[in-house]
Amino acid sequence: MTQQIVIDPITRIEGHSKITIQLDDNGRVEDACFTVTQYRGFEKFIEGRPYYEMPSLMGRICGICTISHELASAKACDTIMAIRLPEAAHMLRTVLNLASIVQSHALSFFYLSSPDFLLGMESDPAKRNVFGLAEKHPEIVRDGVRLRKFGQEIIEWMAGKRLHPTWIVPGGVASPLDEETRDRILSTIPEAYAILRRNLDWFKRSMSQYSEEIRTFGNFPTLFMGLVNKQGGLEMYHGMLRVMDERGHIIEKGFDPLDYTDYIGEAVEPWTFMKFPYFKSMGYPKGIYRVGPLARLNIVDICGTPMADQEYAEFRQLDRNVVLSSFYYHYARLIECLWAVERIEALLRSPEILSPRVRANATPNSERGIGVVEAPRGTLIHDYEVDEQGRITRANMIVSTTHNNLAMNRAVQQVAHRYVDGSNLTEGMLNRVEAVIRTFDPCLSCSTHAQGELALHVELRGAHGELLDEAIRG
Amino acid sequence: MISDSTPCDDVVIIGYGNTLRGDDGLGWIAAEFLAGVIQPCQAWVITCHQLTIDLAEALSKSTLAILIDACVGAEPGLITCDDIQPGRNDAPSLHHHMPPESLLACTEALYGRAPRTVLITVTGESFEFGSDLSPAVKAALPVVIKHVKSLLPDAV
Repeated sequence: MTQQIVIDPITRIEGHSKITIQLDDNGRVEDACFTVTQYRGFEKFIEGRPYYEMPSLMGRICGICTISHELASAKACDTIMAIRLPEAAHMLRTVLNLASIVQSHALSFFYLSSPDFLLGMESDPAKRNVFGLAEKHPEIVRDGVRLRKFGQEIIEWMAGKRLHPTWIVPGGVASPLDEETRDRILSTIPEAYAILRRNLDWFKRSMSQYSEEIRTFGNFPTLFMGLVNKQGGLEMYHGMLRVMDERGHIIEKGFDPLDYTDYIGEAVEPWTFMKFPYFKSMGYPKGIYRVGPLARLNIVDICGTPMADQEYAEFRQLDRNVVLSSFYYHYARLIECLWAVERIEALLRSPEILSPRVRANATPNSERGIGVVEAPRGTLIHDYEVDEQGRITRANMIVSTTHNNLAMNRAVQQVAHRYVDGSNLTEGMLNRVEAVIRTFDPCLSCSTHAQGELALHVELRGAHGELLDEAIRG
Repeated sequence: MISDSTPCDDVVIIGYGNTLRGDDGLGWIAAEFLAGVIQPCQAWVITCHQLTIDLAEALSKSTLAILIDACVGAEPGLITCDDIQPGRNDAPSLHHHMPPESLLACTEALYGRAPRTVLITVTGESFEFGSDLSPAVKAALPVVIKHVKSLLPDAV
């Protein structure tokens, strides 16, 4: 007699989803899957709208990675207009993307995942929340608040507001950066460095406590994909897409993001609203790959900034060829934050960033536009087709979380096999199944469309639907 | 959006809600209006969609916080005004909406203090898509503004 455990919805992630664990007759885990129970209609309802509205409309997909969507969308519009942007526009967009990555990584690391690190996977769920965290480690929570504020304030000061700004436009940005704003941002950078240094220190020291999670949290061979720059360094805005295998062999050195459909296929399964992208030449589902912080640090040759490169050297020592455990996504996020702050400082210290020329204008010159950036959670692709008047006739997006769908499902299976005992449900057991999903920091509002509130209801049911065990929280 | 509208942070006004869901935008609209009519030395005005832990630092620096929000109830336009205390009855999400009492408790735990906090709510009539307030809530808006102003220190 088979049985099912359903975790619905999963907590401390962005969006709405559930995990189903299938048990065999002996109560052992037979299978597990991660299901996204919400949908996104953006590709459909933008049809007929003019292309120049896209950055503002698409930014509404998400309240966390708004900037990344606006940038990918604006880059797609740039290619529809077939124009070359002023260098200052690229620099300003890059700073904004980096600020967005810092605030999003801070949210993921400090707010969503730190209760697991700091209070323990097995700790009382009644205390594994903001109060427990604030009481036991107020200094770390305060650092999280400050680091998130650092990223959010840059967005607000440069783009006018933190959420859904309309400053990123096709052809560039709406207004140049003034000296006062630049200096204001620069004055906040030393604190960001200090926060990252001390939090990298404690996290690295504490990683030995999580050796079993490191061993079992999404620790398996996959491909890795992300943007790299011409030097093979870390890149979030421009660049070519590189693909690496689990042994560290580069199987695609750098293909043009505009050719993504030659390399990436999208499969559909009937039990989830989220698609399953795969690397085409290896087929589905063998072409499983990961994107995001872990993937980015695996595929690059260097980060390209002094402090981040020091950390990167340590990161590369974690595994022989490629760092495979998804648990290290958390570590990679902190390193990326450090790199992002260094890049922001370097860009702001360049006199060219104050140039008044920040926008190019044109009418549609191409019937198709593709824009690719690295969002906090990984590669983000916007692909539009337009008619002669520039109205959208077709749109496709592959967002970061979607790229990781195959890997997240496999990670859930791995953790369920290791930790779940079907005879009874324990809090630590279920939390680990959720925690492996949190390593990927999925943003389901992007990958589909967010609705509903987060809570957790876990049911253990027999083959005939009888309730065998139940856990409710939230 | 959190805007540094003033160097004064002794009093903080937080208007929150979704301006695209009818009366839910009441708090935001009231706060924006107040930002335009009060003196910079009187209060720090913040507008945002939801209360989150990100606001704890601003609250910890103030001695008086005034929160303005819309609520659901039987009598549209009804204004309530309550002093609220830090409360730990919930296990709030770390990133999504937090009840005001939980936010105060969090502020206290993180920074060692929380301000006196007044929560002003107006019962909404419609929370459907749209940026307009219903007639009942629109009528309540000037009363809310007047009451908030009465709580503020005098302008220099």
